[in-house]
Amino acid sequence: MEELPENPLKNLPRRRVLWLLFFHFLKIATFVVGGGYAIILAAERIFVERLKWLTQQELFDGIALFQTVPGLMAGNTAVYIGYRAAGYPGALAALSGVALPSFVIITLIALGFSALPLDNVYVQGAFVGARSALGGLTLAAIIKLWKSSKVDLFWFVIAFGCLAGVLLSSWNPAWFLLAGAVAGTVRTYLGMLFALRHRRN
Amino acid sequence: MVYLTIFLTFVYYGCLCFGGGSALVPIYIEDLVNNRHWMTLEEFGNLIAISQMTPGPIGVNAATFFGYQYGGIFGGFLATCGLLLVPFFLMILVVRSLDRWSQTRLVNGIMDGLRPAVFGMIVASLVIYLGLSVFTEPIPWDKILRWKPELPPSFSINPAALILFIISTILFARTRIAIITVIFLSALAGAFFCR
Repeated sequence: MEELPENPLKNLPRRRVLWLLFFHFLKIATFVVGGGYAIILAAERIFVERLKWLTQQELFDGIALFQTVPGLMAGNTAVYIGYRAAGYPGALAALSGVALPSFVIITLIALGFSALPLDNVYVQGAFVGARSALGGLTLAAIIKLWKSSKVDLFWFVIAFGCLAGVLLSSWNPAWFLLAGAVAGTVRTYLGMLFALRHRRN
Repeated sequence: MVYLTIFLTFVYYGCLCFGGGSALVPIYIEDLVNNRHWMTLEEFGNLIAISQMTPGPIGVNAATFFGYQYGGIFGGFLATCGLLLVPFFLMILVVRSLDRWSQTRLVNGIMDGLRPAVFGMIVASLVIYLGLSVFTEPIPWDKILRWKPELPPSFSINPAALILFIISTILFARTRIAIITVIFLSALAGAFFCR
């Protein structure tokens, strides 16, 4: 972490860091219904904007990485942020926070607490309301990401290709990310070749 | 023995779930339902419905539930740990390699390709969310892309959800309000207006 001189983590005792990791991820996993990208965006708001433990670029580069590793998006986000903040114990604290709410609730349901009023109209409406807010969170993050990206033709083709691919096909999204990574690599090396040839002429 | 089977089975699934927990759903159906007959397709459908309505990532929900069915509470715990085990160490390995090789041309090239791809994925996740909130059912792309789109009658816009969506977008983009506050208030409003 030497690239961040005024790192806010330095002034915090280690125990406090571990507790904050566990507590915030517990909160995120409890309130962000359905999981997926919304969990990452919620983590962005807490750990990047409020606590400033890492930069937006670091987090989103991390997201790109999670996809190349198998695992749940929420779990990998927790391990990434936790490990960056406090090494192995940090990763473990954050991951426990993510897994705990599911574990407790599903165990309760399995134990036969089917009295949970999941098909009640008010509860259903509350879930629609929560998902609307998560949609808003996602759109706000998209606007922010768009502003901070260097958009060129290559960028646009990859982004739009992945969007259309995920929505219109039933393939695993990991394939589209792999295609993006390959395209980026090929472009970098082709650019290098052209530069070499140009220099020779 | 049952515990070992549960644990190893979920370690194996943990190695397979590229692209997040929803990638596990077809694997669960193929392996747990069709091959091993650990549960029926109907039970599995109920589980997915519960997972989408309850907090937490869908992969952990399913693992806890399967584990519980075969080994009680401890089984559920083992299944969850098994699922998260391999990704945990792989993630840490990847973070360390990124730190070591972040200045190389290869890693820069890969990142240049992955960044727009992730942007596309996030936009796609927004569209999917809208199909579960602002619209009454997932957007029927196959019908829209035809020359004369015929939307099914059950597909419509939920105006209250649309308003909540717009308000929360503005709040998240313009203020530093805590996410939990917005989600909670929006759920509260939804309970009365989105029925």
